[in-house]
Amino acid sequence: MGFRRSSRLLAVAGLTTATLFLSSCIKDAPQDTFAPDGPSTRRVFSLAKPVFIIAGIVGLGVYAVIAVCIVKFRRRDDLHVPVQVHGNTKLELLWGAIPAVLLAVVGVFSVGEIFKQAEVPKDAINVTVIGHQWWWEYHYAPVGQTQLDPKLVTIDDPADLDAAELAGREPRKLANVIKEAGPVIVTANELHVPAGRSVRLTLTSTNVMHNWWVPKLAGKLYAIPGKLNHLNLDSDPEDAGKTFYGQCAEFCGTSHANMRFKVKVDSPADYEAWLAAQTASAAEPITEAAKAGKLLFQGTGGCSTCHWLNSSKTNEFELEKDSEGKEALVVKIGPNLTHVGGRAHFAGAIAELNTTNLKAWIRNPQKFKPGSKMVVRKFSEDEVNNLVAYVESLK
Amino acid sequence: MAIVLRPPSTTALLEASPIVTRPADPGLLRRPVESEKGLWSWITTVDHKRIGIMYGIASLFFFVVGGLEALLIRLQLARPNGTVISADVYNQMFTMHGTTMVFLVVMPLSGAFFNYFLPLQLGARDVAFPRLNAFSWWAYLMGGIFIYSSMFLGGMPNGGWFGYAPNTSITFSPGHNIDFWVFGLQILGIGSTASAVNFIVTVINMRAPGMLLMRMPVFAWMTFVASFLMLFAMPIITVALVLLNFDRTFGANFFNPGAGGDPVLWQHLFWLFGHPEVYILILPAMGIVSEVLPTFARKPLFGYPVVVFSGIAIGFMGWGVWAHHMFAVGLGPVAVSAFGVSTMFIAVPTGVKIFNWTATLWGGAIRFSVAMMFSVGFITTFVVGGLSGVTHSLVASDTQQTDTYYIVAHFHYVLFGGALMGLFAGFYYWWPKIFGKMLNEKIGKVHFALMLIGMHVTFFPMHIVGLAGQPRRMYRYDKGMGFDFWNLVETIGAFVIAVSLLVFFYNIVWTAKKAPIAPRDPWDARTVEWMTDSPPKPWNFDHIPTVHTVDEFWHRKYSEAEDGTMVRVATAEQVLDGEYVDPASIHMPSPSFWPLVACLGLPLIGYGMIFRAWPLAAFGAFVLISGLFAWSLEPSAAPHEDHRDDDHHDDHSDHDVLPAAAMGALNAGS
Repeated sequence: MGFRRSSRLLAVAGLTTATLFLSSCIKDAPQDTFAPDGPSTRRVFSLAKPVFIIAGIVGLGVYAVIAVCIVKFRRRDDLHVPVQVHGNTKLELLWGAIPAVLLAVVGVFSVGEIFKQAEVPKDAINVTVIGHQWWWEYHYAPVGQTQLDPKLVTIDDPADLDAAELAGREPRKLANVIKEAGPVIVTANELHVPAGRSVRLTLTSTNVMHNWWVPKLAGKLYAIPGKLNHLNLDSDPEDAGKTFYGQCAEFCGTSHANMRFKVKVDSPADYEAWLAAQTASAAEPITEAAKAGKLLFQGTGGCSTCHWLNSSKTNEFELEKDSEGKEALVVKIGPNLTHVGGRAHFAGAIAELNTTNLKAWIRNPQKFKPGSKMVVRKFSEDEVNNLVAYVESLK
Repeated sequence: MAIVLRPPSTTALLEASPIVTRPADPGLLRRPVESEKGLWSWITTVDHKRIGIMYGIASLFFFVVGGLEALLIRLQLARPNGTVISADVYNQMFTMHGTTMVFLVVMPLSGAFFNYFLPLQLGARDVAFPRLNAFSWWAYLMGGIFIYSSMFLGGMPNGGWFGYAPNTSITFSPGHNIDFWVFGLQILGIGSTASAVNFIVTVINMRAPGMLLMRMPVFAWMTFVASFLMLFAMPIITVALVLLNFDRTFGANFFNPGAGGDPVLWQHLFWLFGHPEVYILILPAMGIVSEVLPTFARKPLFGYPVVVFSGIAIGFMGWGVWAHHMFAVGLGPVAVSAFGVSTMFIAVPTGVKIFNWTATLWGGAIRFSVAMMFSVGFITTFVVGGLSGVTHSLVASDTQQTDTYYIVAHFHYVLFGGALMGLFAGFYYWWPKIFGKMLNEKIGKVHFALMLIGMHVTFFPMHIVGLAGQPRRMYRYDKGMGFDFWNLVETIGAFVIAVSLLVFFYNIVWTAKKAPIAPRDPWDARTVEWMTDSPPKPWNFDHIPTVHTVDEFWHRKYSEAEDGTMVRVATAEQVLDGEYVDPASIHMPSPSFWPLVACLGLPLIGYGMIFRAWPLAAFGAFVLISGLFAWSLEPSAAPHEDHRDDDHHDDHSDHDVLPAAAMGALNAGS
């Protein structure tokens, strides 16, 4: 029995070591935090690695001592009473002090890294990140414009809105509207960044809390309504052409699991080209189906109630007269679709953007993505085909 | 304080002190008479042992419910894109799994042991406030039933056990799901706070003669520390819930950023409660393990004062680490540095405990009963949880790990492998004390082996998938993320745990039907709770023991020989057999049904508030208040009882000379 018991514990210890070792061995895990791919994530991993190893050694040490106790100090004679040791002050001080010193050393490095991460990178590209239920919106400064410097402003009366300067959205929550210096390009789901250049993200939300996380390139940070958070993201020049996986990490409602995104690292030239293309107005439809789709999109289909197709370089709020003749904000709760046909994914990046998926989505968004805020009427098959043709033409 | 505040009836005392004789029946209402059997005697009981047993039964029931929720979660996640349950049902399941396991299982299961063993370990006849104790129990039961009644009233809570604002606001969670959570937790909080007061006063006032604080068993110490944590933590969550309730019910804006409120405030309040709560869950199990290890190693706990003081240190430091749940929230580098460092240093007292337990084993004469196996299992799994906890204190690295399955792995190692294993050790260790029969050791070993294996198979892979980037609280994951294999393994492990629990329940049934009567001192135990019958009589001890040392019972059985070795000087029977005591001479608190009546008002208030049925809420408040009034107005004892009490005042003799007015006031407060 003694042997069986101790061998079981040793087996557990062995399993622990083996699986710890294996943990770095999940192949092709696109969100693997133990396979960092950017300068800052690598730095953090190199800080964490020795701590994991020391922790493993301490753990195995305790296991070893317990294993020895189990084997060596079993009660063999029912009358045997061991020496009654009540403690050993020196020993106890020692095993209190050693971890304390060890942790103090680790603490110095840890705090150093915290402050390093909080530095504002020079010459960074500023991108505003806004969490929605359940997709991510990104704001860029157009080519040649000054970098975005988003701020939260309080506005009591919708009529006071300076429409050209605002990019926040929910009119019921006007206390915290994001104000960005100058025009912005608005896109969704896929973040484009130039390889080798620092990107400074400003995160916020217009609804519940979200948590933006792309494990291989950056740790995670909350997007909180009424608060601006800053996260630095950097990549290697060799990362050009790679796509990184990310997703929302804070529970944010029904479809939290469907709030994904991709980070596309472009070569600097590709990035400039992409940004320039994003500045263009929505493409005019060419095919008959797409033309019919546009009519539907802007008319009886009701799509334009929630989706933007900006024809200008900016992505401003539209103001309309409300019933009292006051100008009020027009709500657009869906993503900007001006260049949606050029994206590889949609619906919170859970699906590839192709004809089949788009049709399934338009027929029943809630089936595709539970709890989706997209409301559609019942479309005929022709209408679905036309709408999809138009959406796909919006390159 | 019904036990100690009886007016002395001996004429000698009456002559010696100027006490006013108590009126024959000062209360307005009749009090139920003590009876030995029947459902009514359980409903009206104020006996800490019966209340402890009821806590145990209810929390095991909720353990099954929370376990079924866990199995549904694991079934859904067994394969990528699982379709067993919908997204919304999944969100209800993980919310209720967490809420259930924390508030309805581990806390009350610890409470069961507090109730049953704290008075016994202290050498007391009951807790300080027996009726308040009954009130706590009924509030817990009402709270549990109330939360689960949401299942039939529109859906269970679905905002996570952490209930982050503003997702729990009326805008984003318009249903009643969250309301049930808000009011259910408040009802549970009332019970927990009352318990905390009760246990603290019991420890301070009810110890046997000679039992200095530093002679208390470690379990009593950990109860004491955990009770202080409860006393200060429950009001914080109550404040948070009241604010949330005002936001939801009355349109307040505490957590609404659109009107100047701050959703991060919720996180601070929740975790300022939530982190001490973690220690409320683990300290009792640490206490149990600190009892079991010395008993089965036949050695005193290595460094008793150090173990006690590190428990106290954890109790204090536990208040200074809450923001490590919020490292990704964006609190700024200074704040996260401070909380990162404080989190590192709370590992020191925790580590000291682990080393001291290990040193207790070293050089011992270890007997591997099932209780001992669970205790060693506790140490070995808790070590893993503790070490993964240290990795979280590395802030920059934690922003990768937070909100992933790595965290899920960590706290299941601490709360399942830790707290629950410790509590199971308690079951096997104290079962003969509670029921007079020992759980079957062979079945128990099967239970332990399955549970240990199931535990590691379920939760160890969560470290792996978490570090590989699987976030928590996801009702599905895609293929090709590298999560498939280990998630399937986890699901298999979860079912192994389920089987191990079935074995445990089978063991209970087997023991009830077939087990022989246990010997009076089956484990060669060390502490005072074993110095009486099993199960103990309602009054616990015929003679309250006088305590001279930490391991009082042990030292009455063993003595040091001239060559330094320990020799047996008395058998347990010799120690236990005392003079016959007439039960009528021992005075015990009478039963009462008012604690239950008062508690019945709590869920009525909740339903009334949730469904805006204000008359119902008012009626609930009326029931609660009239229950409390009747409680304070009922006589301090049932009629027709023998009030001769000449033996039970030895530890609190000062109370005998309290004037009648003070007695009345204290009685009303009991």
